[in-house]
Amino acid sequence: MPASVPAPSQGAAVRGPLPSGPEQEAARLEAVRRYDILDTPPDGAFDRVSALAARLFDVPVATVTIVDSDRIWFKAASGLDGVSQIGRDPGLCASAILADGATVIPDALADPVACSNPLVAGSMGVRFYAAAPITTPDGHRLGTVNILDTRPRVISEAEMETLSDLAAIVLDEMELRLSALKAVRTEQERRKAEQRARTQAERDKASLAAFASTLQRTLLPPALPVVPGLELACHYQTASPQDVGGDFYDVFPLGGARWAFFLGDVCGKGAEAAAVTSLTRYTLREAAQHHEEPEAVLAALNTALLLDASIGSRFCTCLFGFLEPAADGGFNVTVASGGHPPAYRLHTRPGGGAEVEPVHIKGGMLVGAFEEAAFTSRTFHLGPGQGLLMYTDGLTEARLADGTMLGESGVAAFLARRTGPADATALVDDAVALIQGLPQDVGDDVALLALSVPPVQAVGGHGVSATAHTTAAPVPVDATGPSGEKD
Amino acid sequence: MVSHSLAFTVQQFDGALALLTVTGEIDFTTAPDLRDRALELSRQGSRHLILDLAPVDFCDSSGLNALIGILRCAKETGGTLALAAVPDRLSRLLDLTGVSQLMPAHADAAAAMSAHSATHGPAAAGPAVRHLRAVATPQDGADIPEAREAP
Repeated sequence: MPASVPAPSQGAAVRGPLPSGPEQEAARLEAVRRYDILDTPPDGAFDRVSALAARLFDVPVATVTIVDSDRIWFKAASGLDGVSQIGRDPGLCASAILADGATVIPDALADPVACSNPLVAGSMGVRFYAAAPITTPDGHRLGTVNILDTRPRVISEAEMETLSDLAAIVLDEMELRLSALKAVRTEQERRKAEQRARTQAERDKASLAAFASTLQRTLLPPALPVVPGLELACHYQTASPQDVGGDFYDVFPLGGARWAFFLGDVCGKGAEAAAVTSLTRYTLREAAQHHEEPEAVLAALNTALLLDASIGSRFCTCLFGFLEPAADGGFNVTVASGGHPPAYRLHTRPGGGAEVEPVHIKGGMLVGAFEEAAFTSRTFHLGPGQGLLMYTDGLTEARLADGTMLGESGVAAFLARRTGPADATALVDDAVALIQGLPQDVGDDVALLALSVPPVQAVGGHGVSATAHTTAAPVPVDATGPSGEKD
Repeated sequence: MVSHSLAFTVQQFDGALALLTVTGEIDFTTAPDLRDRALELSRQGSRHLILDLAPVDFCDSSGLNALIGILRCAKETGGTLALAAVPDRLSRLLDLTGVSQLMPAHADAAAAMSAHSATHGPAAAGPAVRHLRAVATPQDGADIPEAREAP
């Protein structure tokens, strides 16, 4: 492109108005930061624009510059080796970004402002300068695409439009780059958020499990008491470590050698069921002090559950009984049922194994659902060599390999098949082994409570033991009973 | 576990009686729907309710809980709840928990209707049968089959 020497009258730059105040400049700088382009490494797309400009306009130097607060930074430069930025001296780029449209200085020495710019006055000796602003869609001029020559020259309207198109291409490239950056950042944020959520979920899960097992421990007797002349054993497991189970049991003294026991199951799980379990245990313990009949104790529980507005529609099934020592070293047992599966009585057979008898208590209704609930009881004698096993439906609803439930008949059959004695510890151990031998995990909580009277010849032989397995996790953790024997 | 839902067919009769036929499997997921549907009928004025469970092929303790909720609501409105064609497992649960004392169970819907008429007078048929929700029947074997007790 031949450079023509401009007429002196054309010495002044063609510029638009200069509206830029401090506020506009602050907003402009914010836009510069938004594109996050300052001090980024060289980039082929921008380098091509500067090279293209130099070739199109046949000039020695073409640049793509971004104007920062205190410097003019070269994103790309063709014909300017080793220069990455210059100061914001007025006259060239710094002034060009103040103009609405393109800036043309045919002869910098004839321009009153540009003539003192270092690029003009210094060793580079710039005489011709033209620039098109890189303008964002919201009107901020980030910088310019510049062409410089060491000779004065003029530039046509069409050429200026080409320069403006190059500036528009630069902006498109910056927009593309920005959206790619945003996509990457969003993805990174998403990954970080996912990671945070995972970490939080794991923390929550752990604290929930810890909370559940702590709560569980408060809902269960820490250890069974030592009842003279009686062996006790229990087992407790929840279907999942995250859940507080709704099963409960307890054995406690009433004074005068009388004892009370209960075992039951609140429908549902979680905090609400735990609240019912808690209320149930305290109510039963309290009512046991005031009533002679177990039916009356269950009736008191029924009333308490129905009265408690916060309980809502929660109810439970329950076995509640009193124990009184009998003359033969055994106990007279009176048990009332609140709609609970029957306990099993076992009589040790001389040749090993035991006779099994379900303790059916007809007519008892689940507790806490209906005001008119009626309860009935049965009284029987538990003599030496005899045991009583109580359980919740987690045992009867445990599934066999073929998917069928164990059921009451399955429990009875398992008890009849046993060859061991009818003592409480062996009963609970065998029942736990049965559950753990099943192919599927139990779908519900399981609570087991067994009582047995040691055979006559054994009384005083190896003392009394109370065994407890209490755990809130599916894998039972054995605890040593008060007797100090590890079971 | 394939998600499934219950299908309901309702026949309403004069004398505030509704016969609700339930099809599907009543478990932890679907039991609330049964309760909601029955309570809705109660709100619409059918305080006497007969549940025909003949097409129910599975019902666990969640179903029992729903029935208890329905019965409690019926009692509040001076109504009744009767069951027809109760599945075995539910029947055992009702007996075990003593709830069967409060909810008469009949061999089939016709027997339940006759028993209701004997107590409350004959029920004249109201509007025609309305199918409320047509849903796909549960896939065979999609869920836990009704568990029979082990021998």
